[in-house]
Amino acid sequence: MRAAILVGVMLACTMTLQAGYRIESVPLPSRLRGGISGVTFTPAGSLVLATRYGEIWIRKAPAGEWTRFARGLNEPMGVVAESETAIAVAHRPELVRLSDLDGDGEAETFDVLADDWGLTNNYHEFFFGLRRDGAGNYYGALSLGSSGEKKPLGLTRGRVDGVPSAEKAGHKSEVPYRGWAVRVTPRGEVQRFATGFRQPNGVGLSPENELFVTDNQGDYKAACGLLHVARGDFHGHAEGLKWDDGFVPGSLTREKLWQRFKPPAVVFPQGVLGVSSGEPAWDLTAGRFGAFAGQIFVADHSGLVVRSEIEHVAGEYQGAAFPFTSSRQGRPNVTGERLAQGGMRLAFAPDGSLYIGQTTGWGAGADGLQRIVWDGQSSADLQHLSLTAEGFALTFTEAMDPVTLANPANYRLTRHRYFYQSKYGSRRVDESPVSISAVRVGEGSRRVELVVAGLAAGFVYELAVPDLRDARGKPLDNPAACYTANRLRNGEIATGGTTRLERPDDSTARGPTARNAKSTTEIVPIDGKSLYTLYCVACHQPDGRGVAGGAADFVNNKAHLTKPDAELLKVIADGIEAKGMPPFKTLLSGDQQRAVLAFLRQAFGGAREPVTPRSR
Amino acid sequence: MRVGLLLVALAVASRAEPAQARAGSIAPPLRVGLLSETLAPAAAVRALSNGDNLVSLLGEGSAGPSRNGFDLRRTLERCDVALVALDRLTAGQGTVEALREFLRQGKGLVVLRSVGETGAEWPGFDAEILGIKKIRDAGQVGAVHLPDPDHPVLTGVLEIAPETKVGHEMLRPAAGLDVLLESDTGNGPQPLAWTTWYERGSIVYLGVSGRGAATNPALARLVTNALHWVGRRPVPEARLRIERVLMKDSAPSPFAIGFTNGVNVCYDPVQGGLNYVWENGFIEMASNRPGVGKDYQPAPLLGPLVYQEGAVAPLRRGAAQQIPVRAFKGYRLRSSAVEFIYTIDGSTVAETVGLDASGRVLVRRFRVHEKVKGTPWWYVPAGPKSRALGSPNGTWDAAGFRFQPDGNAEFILEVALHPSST
Repeated sequence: MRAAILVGVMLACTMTLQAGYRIESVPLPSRLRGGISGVTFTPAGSLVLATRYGEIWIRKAPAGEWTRFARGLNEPMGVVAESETAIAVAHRPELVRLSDLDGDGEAETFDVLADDWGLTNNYHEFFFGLRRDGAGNYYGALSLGSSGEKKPLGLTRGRVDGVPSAEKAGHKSEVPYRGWAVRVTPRGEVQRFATGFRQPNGVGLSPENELFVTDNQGDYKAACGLLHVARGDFHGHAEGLKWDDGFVPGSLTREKLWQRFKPPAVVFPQGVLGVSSGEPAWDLTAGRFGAFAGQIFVADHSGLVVRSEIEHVAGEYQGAAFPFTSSRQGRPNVTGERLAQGGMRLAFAPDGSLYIGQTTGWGAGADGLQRIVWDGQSSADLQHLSLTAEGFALTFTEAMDPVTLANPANYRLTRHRYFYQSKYGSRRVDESPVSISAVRVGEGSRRVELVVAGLAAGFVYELAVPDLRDARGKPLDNPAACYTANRLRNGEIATGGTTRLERPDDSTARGPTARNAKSTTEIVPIDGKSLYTLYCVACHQPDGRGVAGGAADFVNNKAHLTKPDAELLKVIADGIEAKGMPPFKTLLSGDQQRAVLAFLRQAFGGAREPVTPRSR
Repeated sequence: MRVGLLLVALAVASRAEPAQARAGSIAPPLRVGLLSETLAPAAAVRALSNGDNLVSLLGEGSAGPSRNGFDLRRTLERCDVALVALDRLTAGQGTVEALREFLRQGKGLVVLRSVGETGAEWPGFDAEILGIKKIRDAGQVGAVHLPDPDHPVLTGVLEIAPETKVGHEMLRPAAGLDVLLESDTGNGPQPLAWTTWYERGSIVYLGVSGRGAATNPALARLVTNALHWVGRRPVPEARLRIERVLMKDSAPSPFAIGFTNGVNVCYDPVQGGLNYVWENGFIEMASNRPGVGKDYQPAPLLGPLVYQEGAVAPLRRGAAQQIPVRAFKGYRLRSSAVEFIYTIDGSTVAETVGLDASGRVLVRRFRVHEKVKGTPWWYVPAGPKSRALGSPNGTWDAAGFRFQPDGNAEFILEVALHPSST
C-alpha cells in the first residue's frame, strides 16, 4: 500500500542522524530541581537555565561553576539574560527581572516588568516566551486554559468572561488576554500583539526582529507549526478574540473565522514532524553547526528536533520542514547519546553547539539537558526546499549522483490538507499523490528542480527521496521534507492556508475510505502498527512501556489491555485529560481506532482476543 | 525493657538576628530538656553551640528520676523544647503522656533514634505523634537523599549517613509529614528524618543517630538546627524560602514564605496582602509540581493555621471604605524578611514582612511617602478588630487602624501568632 510506504519513509527518515553530529548530556547540578523550561546564554557566554520548579541556574563562563541564581518562581517558561547579573523571566503571573545587586551570585531583587493579564487556577494558563528585540521590547505568549478542568475557578486575577468567543472548544480564554501574544514595552506597557493562539509554547525572534511562534495541535489547530506573527494577526483559535477591541462574541461563524485566520508559515504534520512543538532557534553560527546556517530549529516534546526554513512567497512567509534528529533514531551515523524526549527549549551556544532543554510533563518526556555538537564532518542531506513557479527546487549539502537525481521515479510526492474546526486537531484530508512531470538537474548535481503537475496552493506537500544517492553512492541522511504551500509564486492564495472547512459529504468519506476527487489511491494508513507509530509512540514508546506516572505501560501493567474493548476505545476516542492523552476521535476513524487497539493487544499482550475492524 | 533515663536540662540561647530583632527584644535562652540514654547528644549540641555563637549548657548532669514521668513532667515545665534520644529503650506511658502535654502547650520536640529502631517499641506514640508506623525492616539503607535541601533544619548539612543500616518500612506516612532525609532500600525510598506536628507542638524526627553522635558534626548540626526550629527560633544561617504556587483561599500565584523558624505566611499580591499564617512545615509541593499529568491543586499546608485574614486590599489611602487600585511592582529578599513593592492608588508602598525576635509575632512595616498633608492611611481588616492584631504607631478607629503620615513614614502592624501566650 502506497500510504504505508510514505509513512514508512517519513518515519525511517528519523531513524538516522547526519554524520558529524554528536549528542551529549550536559551535567546538571545535583540540587537543580524540575525539568528545563528555559535555556539561554548571557552576553558573556554563561549558560542560563530555568526549571519548571521555579529555579534559575547559571553556569558561569568560562569556569563552569553552577550557581542557583533564584528560586521560588511560578513555572517559568522562558528566559532572557540581559547580563551576568540580570535575568528576565516569563513565569505564570509576571514578566519579572531578577537582579543580583549585592554581587553574591544570587538575585535578591525581583522587579515586575509586566503583569497586566488575567490568571486563574487553570493548569494550562502558561506565560510562554521569552524574547527581547533590539528596541528593548519583550515578547511572550499567553496560553488558553483547558475546558477540561473541573475544579472551581476560585479567586482570579483579572475580569472573568466565560462566554465563548465562538463555538465551545477544548481550550478557553476566561480572563484577559489568554490566547494572545503580547509585547511588553520598555515602559512596562502590555500590548496585545496578535491572537488566535492555543498553547504557543515556542516564541522566537528572527534576526530581523520578526516574531515567530509555534503553536500546538488541538482545537482550531489542525497540526503544530511555525507561525509568523505580525501585529493584529489572528492565528486561528477563536477564544482570544473576545479581548479584541470591538469584538462581539458569537458574531463570527466558523467560515468567517476560517476566512480571517492567518495560517502557519510552516506546518509540522502530526506524528511525522511533531507532536508538541517548542521553542524555535535560528542558526546564526555562521556554519559552525553544519550546512544549515540561517535555518530555524524547533524542539518537539516527542523527542524530535525539526529543521525549518522560510521564504517570502506572494508577500508572506511560508516554507519547508525537515526532520533533523529524533529519539527514535538508530545510531550508525551519530556518536554520543540518544536524543531524550521532552525537548522544549533550544538555544545555540557561543561555541555553535545546540542546547536542548527537556522536561517531563504533558504525557511523556524526561528532565534533562543535552547538546548537539557538529564535528565538522559533512554528509549528504537535503539542504533547502523552496517553491518555484512550476514546483519545487531542492538543494543538497553534497554533490549527488546525477543518475538517481535525474530519475522522476525517485521523488515520491504527496499532498494533503486539514479541516479547520473547533474540534481537536484534524485528520488529513484530500490526500493524494502528486505527479512529477519533469526533473531538471542543476550544475554540479547539487540542485534539482521538480516540475509538478497540477501545483496548487493550500496543501502540505510531503516529499520522500530514499532512493537518491550522493556521488559516493550513499543515501541521504534525512531523505524527507514537507513544504507548506499557502501561496504560489504566481500570487495564488489559498484561504485558510492548508485547511478547508468540512463538507457534508466528508462524513461519509472518513478514515481509510477517504479519497481525493482526483485520486483513486487509498492513502490514510489503516494498519494499527503504522497508526501506533504515527500517533502513539511518542508517549507510549516503541516498546509500549510508556512513561512512569504518565502514558500507560502496556508491558509491565497487563491490566491496561485486559479491559473491555469499549472501555479502551473510549479512552482512545476521548483521551484522558489528567494524563495528558489527547482525544483521537477527530483524528482517527472508528476503524482506525480499532486497528490501533488490535495492534496494542497483538504487540503487547492482554487476555482478550484482538479486536477486529467493524465491517464497513 | 524500661530503664532509668538520664534527664538533663540544658539551655541554648539563640543568636539574635539583627534585622529581625526589635530594640529591647532579644530572644531569651532556649531551654532544652534532654531525655536520653547517654549524654552524647547533649555533648554534640554543646560542641556545636560553642562553635556557633550559642551560649553553653545550664544544669548539665542534673540527672533526676524519670521512671514514672512525674519528675520528667516537672522538668519539662521549665523547658521550651525537648530532645528525646532513646534508641532501644522504651518510653513509659507516663513519659509519653508528659510529652503529649508538652506538645499541647506549643512546645517543640526533637526525637533522635537509629534507623533500625525507628518506629519500634513506642506503640501508639510512633503512629499518633511521630507520624509513623513500622511494619517491617525494609532492608539495607543506601544513599541518603535530601528531598528539600533548602529546609532550615538541613542548613549546613550537606550529607549525612545513618550509623546503622537497616531501614524501616512505613505503613503510610501521616498526612503533613515533611520528609527531610530519605534513603533507597530494597522496598523503595523510605524516610529517615521528617517534621510533623502534634496539636500545637512541632516535632522533628531524626532516625539517623548512633553511638557516634557526639563526634558526628553533621548530626550535631542537624540536632541543633532542629532544636531551634521546633522552638520557633531562627535556624542560624538558614534562609527563608519562597514558593509561588496555587494555594487555597488565594488568588493564583501567591507567595508562600517559609521563615527559618517554622512560621509560614501566604502573601497574596492580588488580594492585597496577608492571607494567612501557619506553623510547622512549609507546603507540600507535589500537588503543584508539573509532572507527567496535567492536574494542578492547591498546595496543602504542612501545619496548622494560626492566623487568617479575609480582607480585600486592606491597606487604603484616604477613605477607609474605598477599595484602592493596587499594582504589584516586585519584591526584595532581605536577610530574614521579604520586602514587597506595590502602589496604592499610585502611591508607592514598600512593605516588609518579617518576625520579631521571639519568632511568634509577625511584623509588617509599611513605608510610604505621602505628599498630601493630612491624608490618612488605613489598614482595614475584615470583621471586628482581632485580638491578634496590634500597632505601636497606629490607632484603631472603628473601621481599622489609622495612620497619619506626612512625607516619609512607616506604619507597623503586628500579628501575634498565639495571642493568649504572647
